[in-house]
Amino acid sequence: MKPDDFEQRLARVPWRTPPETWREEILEAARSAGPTRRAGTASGWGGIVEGCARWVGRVRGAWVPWGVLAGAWALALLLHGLEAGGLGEAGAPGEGPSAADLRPGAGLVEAARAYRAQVLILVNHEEGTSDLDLPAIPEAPRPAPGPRTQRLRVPGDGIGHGSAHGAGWGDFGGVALVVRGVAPEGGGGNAVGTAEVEVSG
Amino acid sequence: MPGDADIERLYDTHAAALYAFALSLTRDETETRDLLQEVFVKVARRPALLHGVRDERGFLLRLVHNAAIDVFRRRQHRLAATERLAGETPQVFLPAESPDEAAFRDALAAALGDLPPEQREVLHLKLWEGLTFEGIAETLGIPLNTAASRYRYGLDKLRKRLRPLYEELS
Repeated sequence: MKPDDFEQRLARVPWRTPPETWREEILEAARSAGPTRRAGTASGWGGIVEGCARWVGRVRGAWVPWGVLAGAWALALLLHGLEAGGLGEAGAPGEGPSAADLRPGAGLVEAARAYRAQVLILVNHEEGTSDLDLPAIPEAPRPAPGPRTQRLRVPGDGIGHGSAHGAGWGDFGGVALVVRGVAPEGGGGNAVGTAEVEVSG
Repeated sequence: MPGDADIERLYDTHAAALYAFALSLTRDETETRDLLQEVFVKVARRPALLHGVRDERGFLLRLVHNAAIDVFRRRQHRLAATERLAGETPQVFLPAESPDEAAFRDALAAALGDLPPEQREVLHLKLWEGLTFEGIAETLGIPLNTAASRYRYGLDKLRKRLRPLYEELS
């Protein structure tokens, strides 16, 4: 809409300007209320909210800090998932983990125990000795035993044994298992051998 | 993050326009000063407000408009002040050297004061800030048609009231 003469005439009338003294007064008030001077006065929840708002305002549009934050969350979720997975394996197949298995640290104890066993096997194979001073692994928290009628009776001792020369055996409910390590002929210390497994019973 | 220098730049660039708009709304020098200070303190306290703002002037005018609404609410509780303001015609325009021009400006100031604030603010933004109706609608948070109709009604009132003086000056 094109302004007519009357509108143009009105628009030419100049408004007053703010008094000169206002400038310093208003700017001084604005400076004293600035964020750097108020940061020290904020406390409690107000300070936390204000700090978060300032941080969000600062990183808005910056992808790196958001990526770092997302990565940290993903890592936390991954670790949580791994630990929960380890706990789940401790229970019976097809069942969820028992309450005892869900104790914090049970999965980590199992993982440490498995790692220690692997180290022992490797050392036995490479050096033919087991005289290592490996740290003892604490007992994993065990679930309370159920009623006697639900216990599985196993004739054998159910315990695996191993020698310092790469052999292992055990009796698992009447099934005997023997594992022997066979070193390759002419192989050095790092040569990969084979294993013979014998099952009877 | 705007620092002291940015606040000064904001003031030097926009204070005159914000002052005129606030004075047009409040018709009171003291309240205009309070409005102006409130706006600049707000911007200094929360610099993130201006992040991503394309039209600084429009944004600051909107802050003045919002602050003025609070002033109007407070006024409703101060009947005496309202009566005082209604009886006065503040000096909102620069003084004119010519008596005829001075008379026209006084009449215009009085006529503007008799308009409802919602028509007055639209007239101000259109005539003295040169905003389009789209810009006015965005600044005031009103529909485009509302902005246009308020302008038309307000301008018609001014035209009727100022016609004799205007024709005499023309």
